[in-house]
Amino acid sequence: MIITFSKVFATIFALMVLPKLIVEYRAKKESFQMTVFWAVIWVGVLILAYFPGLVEWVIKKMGSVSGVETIYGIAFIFIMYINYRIYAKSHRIEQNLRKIATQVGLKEFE
Amino acid sequence: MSHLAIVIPVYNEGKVIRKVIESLPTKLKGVRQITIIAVNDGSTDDSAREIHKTRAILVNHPINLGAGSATITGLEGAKRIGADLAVTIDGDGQHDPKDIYTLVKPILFDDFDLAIGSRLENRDNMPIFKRVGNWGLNLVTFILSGHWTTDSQSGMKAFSKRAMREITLKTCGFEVCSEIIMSAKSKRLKICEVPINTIYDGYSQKKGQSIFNGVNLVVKLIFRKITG
Repeated sequence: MIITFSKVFATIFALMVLPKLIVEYRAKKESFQMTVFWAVIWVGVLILAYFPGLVEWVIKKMGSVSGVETIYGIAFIFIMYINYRIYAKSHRIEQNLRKIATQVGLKEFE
Repeated sequence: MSHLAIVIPVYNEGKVIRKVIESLPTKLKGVRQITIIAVNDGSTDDSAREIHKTRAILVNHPINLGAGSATITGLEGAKRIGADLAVTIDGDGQHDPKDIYTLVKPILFDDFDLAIGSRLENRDNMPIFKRVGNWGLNLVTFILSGHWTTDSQSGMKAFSKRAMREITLKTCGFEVCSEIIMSAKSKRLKICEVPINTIYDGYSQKKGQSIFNGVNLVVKLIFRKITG
């Protein structure tokens, strides 16, 4: 059941992200390298969602046989933390940019 | 008699902006002066040149930051010129200039602080995906603000002097529409809704928010609510 959900979610998000990547690249908002980078990441997410056994196979190859859930859990928390940090920082930068744009725009009003 | 500022956030509206500005009223009952502030939000087309040919005051953002950012700058400009009330309208020509008076009336004569122009009346003209998205965002706005409105994403709003002074805006994109309601509600301002007409032609339908932006918008609103 969990695997089915992860497939559905991964497919929905990939279908949202991949066309947006192409649109942004065509609109010259994103570089070719970054487009390829994110496309590879999302294709990877899709592959893992449809073939979760691949993770176990890699772990076994590395010499460990247990703790798949632990690794997933740690990875999830780590990603959420990084995501939050990036979001908070970008939000702060956006705020500062907005203040500068307003000041520059309204210079003649002073 | 009041001084009204009409604020228009503009991003790549070179094809229509001149027509939009020229269609705006020069006189309104109860208003002694109308000043138009067009905020060119880093357009890459000839929007700035087109605005320059009109009676509007042109305010230039050096970079594109989003509709919210342009709205904040426009409202700040309105305060600096000493406007008693302000109306925001979209630059794509989807709003009917006749509705400006409809929107201003509750502020001038009924003591309201914020009037939201609702496209409810003309909803049959609204594309189905916009209707569904709009309803979802109305719900999110209600959950975050405690105020139900039938058109939280309307870009056509009127602000009293008190609303201009007290509403605190921080978001840069289209989420500003919901943020205005959230802030007004938290400051206990008097909010009303007024039905307006919407002109959905091929041009204005291409503009506005995409479905991708909807998800982003909700995340930003939640973040704004949490961080205050």
